[in-house]
Amino acid sequence: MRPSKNIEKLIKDVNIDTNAKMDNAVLVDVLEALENSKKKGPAIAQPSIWGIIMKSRITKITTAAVIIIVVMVGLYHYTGSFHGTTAAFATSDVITAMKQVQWTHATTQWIDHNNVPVDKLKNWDGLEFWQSIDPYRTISIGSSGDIEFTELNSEKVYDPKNNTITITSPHYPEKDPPASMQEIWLDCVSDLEKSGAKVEYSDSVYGDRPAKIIKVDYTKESGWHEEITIIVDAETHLAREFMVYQKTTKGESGTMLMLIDYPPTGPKDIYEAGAPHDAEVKVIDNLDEGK
Amino acid sequence: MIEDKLLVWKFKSGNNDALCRIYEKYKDNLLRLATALLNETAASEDIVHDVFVSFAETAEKLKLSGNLKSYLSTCVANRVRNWNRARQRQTTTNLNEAESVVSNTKRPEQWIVENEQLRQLNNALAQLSYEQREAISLHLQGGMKFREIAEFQDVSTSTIQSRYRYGLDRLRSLLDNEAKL
Repeated sequence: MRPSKNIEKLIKDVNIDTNAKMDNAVLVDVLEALENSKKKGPAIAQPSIWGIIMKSRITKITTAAVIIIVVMVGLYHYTGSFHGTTAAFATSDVITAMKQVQWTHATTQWIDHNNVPVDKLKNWDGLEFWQSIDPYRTISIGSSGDIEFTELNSEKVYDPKNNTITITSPHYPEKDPPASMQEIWLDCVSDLEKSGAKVEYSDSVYGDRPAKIIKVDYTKESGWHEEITIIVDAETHLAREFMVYQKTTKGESGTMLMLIDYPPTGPKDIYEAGAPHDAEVKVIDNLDEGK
Repeated sequence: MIEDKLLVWKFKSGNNDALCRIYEKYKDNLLRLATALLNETAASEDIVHDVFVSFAETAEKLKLSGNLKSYLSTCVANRVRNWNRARQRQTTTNLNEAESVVSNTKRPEQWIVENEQLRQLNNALAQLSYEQREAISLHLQGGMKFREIAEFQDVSTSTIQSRYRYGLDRLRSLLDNEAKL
């Protein structure tokens, strides 16, 4: 095959890697730089997860996924330290329950600082979110009907304004696929365990099922305040409702309410997620020429 | 993407492991990008090194609005531009040194090419205009969208798409000519 046949792939796959000598030199220097950064001036900021969600101009999918993670992390963290008296909420039960989930589905509602329900808050208009781990698939549906459908090798975006579906190139190289929810969840537990949040547990009923309510009151040194309420099914140990009230150091506040369910299946393609079949399909950024 | 958000969050909290993971995750991509833009191995390694040290120093102030890979790719591209400017100044002030730089860039052992095809590719890339090379490298190796590259180069998205396509056409032509020889 002539090299020009697939130039994009050739450039993308060019095999140039760092060597051990360079890795050692860089890692020594960057860790020293980070240590110096910690020693200098004020302490490094301790951003809250909710702060990242609210303040970042990140994609809806990422935002929604982070929120789901927060639910899981919250469960692990706050139930994980609650051994003994309520055996039903042992950490192992929660982990087991989460591992058995194939699909997570969530819908969100937003309440602004005036306590009025709104379609969206600043930087966020995701209304509905789906995720499955195997196969990896996330779907986000926005308030204007826009849909983002992401799999390991492609991202499809439906734009209702132009009635188009745009397919873009892979986000994750094969050697480095996105981490599973459980991996991420377990990975950040150790960090959150140091958070020092105030936690209260109470028994309740959700629908017609017994439930546990976990309330987390969390104030940063900076004054950033969050109140997180998680309602968990007492039998399945899965989160069903998740509410976050947040007030920034500048006094700005807002509330997000997320209702979560765990259906046995979800949308298999962007059309099942709601995109019309007559939408024009555009392929851009694809690695293989000629498609 | 999800992992990156959490890595950045942990990194900003001063977590060493998160910083190491970010380096491990993107070091090869960034080195390939720098090499494609510079065609010089040693300088490319220095640039990647400097980018990560600066990144570590800015943990407290870092405000990441886009994705991490694009951010780091932009840092590499900026440093390459600075490096090129510095080299141009050297070239105009010292002709002897300038010649030495040119000969260095043509020394085969510095290209780290694994086979003939890659050698041809590097040669061809070096013959593109810098804007075209930057558009192609940032898109394919930096993983940046045309819109992001347009912002970086301060031109319209359609201009970037043109640079990208014309650049690829030129590469195709150059590589076909080499193959015929």
